[in-house]
Amino acid sequence: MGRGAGRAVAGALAILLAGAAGRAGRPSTAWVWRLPSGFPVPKVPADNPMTVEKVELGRRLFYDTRLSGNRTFACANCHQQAHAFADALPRGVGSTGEMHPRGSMPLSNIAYSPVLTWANPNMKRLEDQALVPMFGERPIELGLAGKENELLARLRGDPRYQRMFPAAFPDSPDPFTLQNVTRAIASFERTLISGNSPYDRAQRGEPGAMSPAARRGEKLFFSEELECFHCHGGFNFTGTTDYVGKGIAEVEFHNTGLYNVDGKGAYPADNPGIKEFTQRAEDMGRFKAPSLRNVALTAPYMHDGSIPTLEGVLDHYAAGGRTVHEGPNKGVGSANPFKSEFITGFTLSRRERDDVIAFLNSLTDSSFIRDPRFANPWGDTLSPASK
Amino acid sequence: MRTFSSPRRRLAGALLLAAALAVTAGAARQTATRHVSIRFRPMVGGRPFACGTSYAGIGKGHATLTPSDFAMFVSDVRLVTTDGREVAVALDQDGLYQDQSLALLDFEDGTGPCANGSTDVHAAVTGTVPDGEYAGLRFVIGVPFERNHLDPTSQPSPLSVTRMFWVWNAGHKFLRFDAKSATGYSWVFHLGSTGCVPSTTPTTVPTSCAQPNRVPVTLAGFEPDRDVVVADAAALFAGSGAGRDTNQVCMSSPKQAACAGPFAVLGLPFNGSRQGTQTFLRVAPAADSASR
Repeated sequence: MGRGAGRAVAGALAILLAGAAGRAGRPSTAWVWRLPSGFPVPKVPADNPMTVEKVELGRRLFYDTRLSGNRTFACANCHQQAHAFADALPRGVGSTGEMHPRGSMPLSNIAYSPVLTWANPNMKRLEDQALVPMFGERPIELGLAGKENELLARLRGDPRYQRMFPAAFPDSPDPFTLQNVTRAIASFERTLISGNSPYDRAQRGEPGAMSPAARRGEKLFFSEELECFHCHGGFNFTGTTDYVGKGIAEVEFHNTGLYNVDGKGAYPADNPGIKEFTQRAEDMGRFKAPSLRNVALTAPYMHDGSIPTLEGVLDHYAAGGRTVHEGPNKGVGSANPFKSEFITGFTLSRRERDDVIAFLNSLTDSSFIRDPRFANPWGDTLSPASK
Repeated sequence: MRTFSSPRRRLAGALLLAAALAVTAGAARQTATRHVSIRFRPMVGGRPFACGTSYAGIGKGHATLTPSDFAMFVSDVRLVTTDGREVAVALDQDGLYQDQSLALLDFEDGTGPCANGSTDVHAAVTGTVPDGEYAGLRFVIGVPFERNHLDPTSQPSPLSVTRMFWVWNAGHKFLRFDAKSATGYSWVFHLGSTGCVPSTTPTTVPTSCAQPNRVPVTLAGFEPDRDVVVADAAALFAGSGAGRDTNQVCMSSPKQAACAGPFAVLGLPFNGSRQGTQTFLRVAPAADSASR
């Protein structure tokens, strides 16, 4: 390297450092978790530490319809607080009306999930997942592919964001970047902790928090006969859980015998489960067992919304797999060769079934869905539809 | 594309430029070099590619297509000397379309149905090679594995171009051609790695992909001053679309029947077929505007 060039590099470095130092504003405010008792501390990526400013910015962005190509949709359209940040549709519908093959997943306690989405074993960080709805083209969700500059210009033009982005990212010479958008949204999503259901209050010793029926249902839920807890166990009612101090993150995907369209285990072509990625025959129909917290709020059920009610879900498991009697998806799911060994069927009396439903209802955290910290901060000025 | 106007990127560009100058200054003492421009000519059915233009006679069913995007990543670009030696092309580091050994060829200009694209067009790979006589070109269609699965929001351009994001598969699209048929059907070809399995670390980076789907390209006889590389999108569909009135959508899934034709043209293995030789790209004299 010639001497002149060496000086040029050194000079450029000096400018770079000066720029960063010159722009750096007040340091951010570290986030303090206020967790329900008994809840572990969520894991946070080392390159995106939680701060108060990032969370508040992420909340704005989560509810901002400028995050769609046609300015009609925000994250919050498919992830609605009233539904524990899922929606009420069988399958998601995006900003251009295109239907997703799968339903929106609830985001309550998503911070504890080491793998995100129904059936993508590669999708592990909320920062990365946010890019799928933003820039995915099949299906189009927020419809931003190719519009990254337009998006950043929209955000840059908002006086509120002109304050919030530098406050959230004081070390960025130009804080208006896609990376900072996804980091802020992920930070907000990690705050969506739900742990104040009747079940939680009963766990904390509050007398009468759960009804006698829910108490009986709890025993059934955790019984070896029903085996529910094998896939929906732990404090977050899913086996796919990770947190600070856990040691080994667990990631589980299961085929529950929901379909068997060819008699050899096939699921409908648009939803093969993790086989889409692993391409292993035995991974056909394997999906993530979602958390059952707030499950009463997230109907319809299963990855494709094909079961309308919790009663229907219990019937599916009681039968050891669903039989579809007619139509293109006709088949005997209980005979699916790839089915989980835990789906063996069971018999419940009418009262027992009602008790299990009462227990599942006791996992609804009504304070979570009314918590103003998670609500649309825009009021009526730029409100996404939150029907 | 205006992504790169941020101060941070400008500084990064200045640093790269300074480093490149230093390297060039050092190298100049040893070997004489020359600048080359490897020109690509995007076409559809033998006619120049243009957003919004209709092209008749595509595929076995003679569909009429109106394209809305056409772009591809190339990497590891080498020229072959007349005595058969391969020489790496040191790509111009332009801060936009070329970074390290990777270049994005972006044929669309953001007009009409290409509205999701960008105004700028980049239809040539430019760089430096040692002085000499060249009569051959080799490169790979695709993004190298070690750069394909990183957080795209932290990557320099052209890996920051969101149209080429393939986040669901934790990577980038290598090649895309998108069009609508006159009868209202989608003709979309997106090439990228599939069958990517997760690593055990808490990141999104896969450890391997069962179908890397990178296309090695060898174009014998290519002389950079005389020739162009013809990329005719119609060639991708030469064996497809017997019935005009169907969607011809291939997202590189081994399950999609619509992939069989384009994969054969690219010489890629598909459902048990062997790796072959790509016939999508070919050499033509620059002076020959028809380039048939």
